[in-house]
Amino acid sequence: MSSVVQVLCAPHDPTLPGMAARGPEAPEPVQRSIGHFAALRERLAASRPDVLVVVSGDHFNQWFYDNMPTFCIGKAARARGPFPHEEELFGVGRYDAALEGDVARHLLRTGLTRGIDFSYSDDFTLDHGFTVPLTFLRPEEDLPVVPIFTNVMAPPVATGRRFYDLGAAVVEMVEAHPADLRVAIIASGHLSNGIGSPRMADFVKQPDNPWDVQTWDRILQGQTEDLIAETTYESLAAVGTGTPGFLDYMFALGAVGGSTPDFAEKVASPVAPPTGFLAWDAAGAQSAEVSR
Amino acid sequence: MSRYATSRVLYDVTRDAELAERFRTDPDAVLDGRGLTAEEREAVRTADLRTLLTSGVHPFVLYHFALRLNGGFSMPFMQGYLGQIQGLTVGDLET
Repeated sequence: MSSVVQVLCAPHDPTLPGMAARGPEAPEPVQRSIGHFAALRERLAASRPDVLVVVSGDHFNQWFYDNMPTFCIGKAARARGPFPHEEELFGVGRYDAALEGDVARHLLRTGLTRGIDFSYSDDFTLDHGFTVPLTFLRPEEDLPVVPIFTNVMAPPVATGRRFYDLGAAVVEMVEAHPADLRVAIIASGHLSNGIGSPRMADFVKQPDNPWDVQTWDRILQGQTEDLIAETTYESLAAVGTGTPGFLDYMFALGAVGGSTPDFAEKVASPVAPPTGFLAWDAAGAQSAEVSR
Repeated sequence: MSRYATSRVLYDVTRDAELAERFRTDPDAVLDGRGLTAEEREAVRTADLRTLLTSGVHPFVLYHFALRLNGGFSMPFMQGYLGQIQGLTVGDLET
């Protein structure tokens, strides 16, 4: 039987790799974020995973309005990206690892038997939502990846409850995989942001807005039912048009049964949108605790 | 108003450096046959960010398009971008 050995939440701001390259020249709050990535990288390595299931939104790069899957499993031969235009516009580097097709197909098939109708793709590029956290958390590119694309940008979007339940279901399906695999789940998302909107620079004047404060408190205090009840695309978009990226953190919360994290760091400052880093050492055991 | 047709042009220009260069030098050639109304075509041709955002283009699609036309990120770019859309609120984004 396989098991989930680590669940992580990490941001994917495409300016972070460039900032990391500046080392001590980078603004202090950004250096803190880079440091938190390093801490999560160590936790991930210490959990000795065989496979990384990475859950992220796409940013109108792989998927557009002509074909917008709500939840989609990637099962190509390689997990690689980002897009050339992302390299050109943001200077983000490439990531290229094997893809664990056996686990991808297992999730797809098992999902269908229990009413979870994932889309799938055999031909895609991972955008910075995937490649930025992977670059920080597993730069060795030596572990096979299973990408799960989630639509968190182009409404209509699934509810927070749906993301939470999907996270719990993916853990159950992983545990039902017959091989003895150690699986880590990386949820790539973020706290409030409004990239491209008139409120894009709100964090400069208000680095830690009331939604970020309340949401982070709820995570630390295990107020998962409140988070589930209040988290929808609409409620998040009201805080900033990019904030629905938090839905992928709801997936992670579902994967750990709504338990409180073993590691939690938030960086809120006037130099960059807030970042949230979370880790749970193991999942699954608690998954029955949260009542409906 | 076709949000899809409008957004599609912005998306295509964002992803393709050669198309972006053609758009800069001869926007009409890029916009022909795109199914845009006269108003949409004018808003895209002149990169009228206010009109595009007001008409329901997703802020992220708009931002990427503006980044591509600018050739990448800089603080003056960011300030200019925000200056152009200042005071607007983002409404319904469903296509």
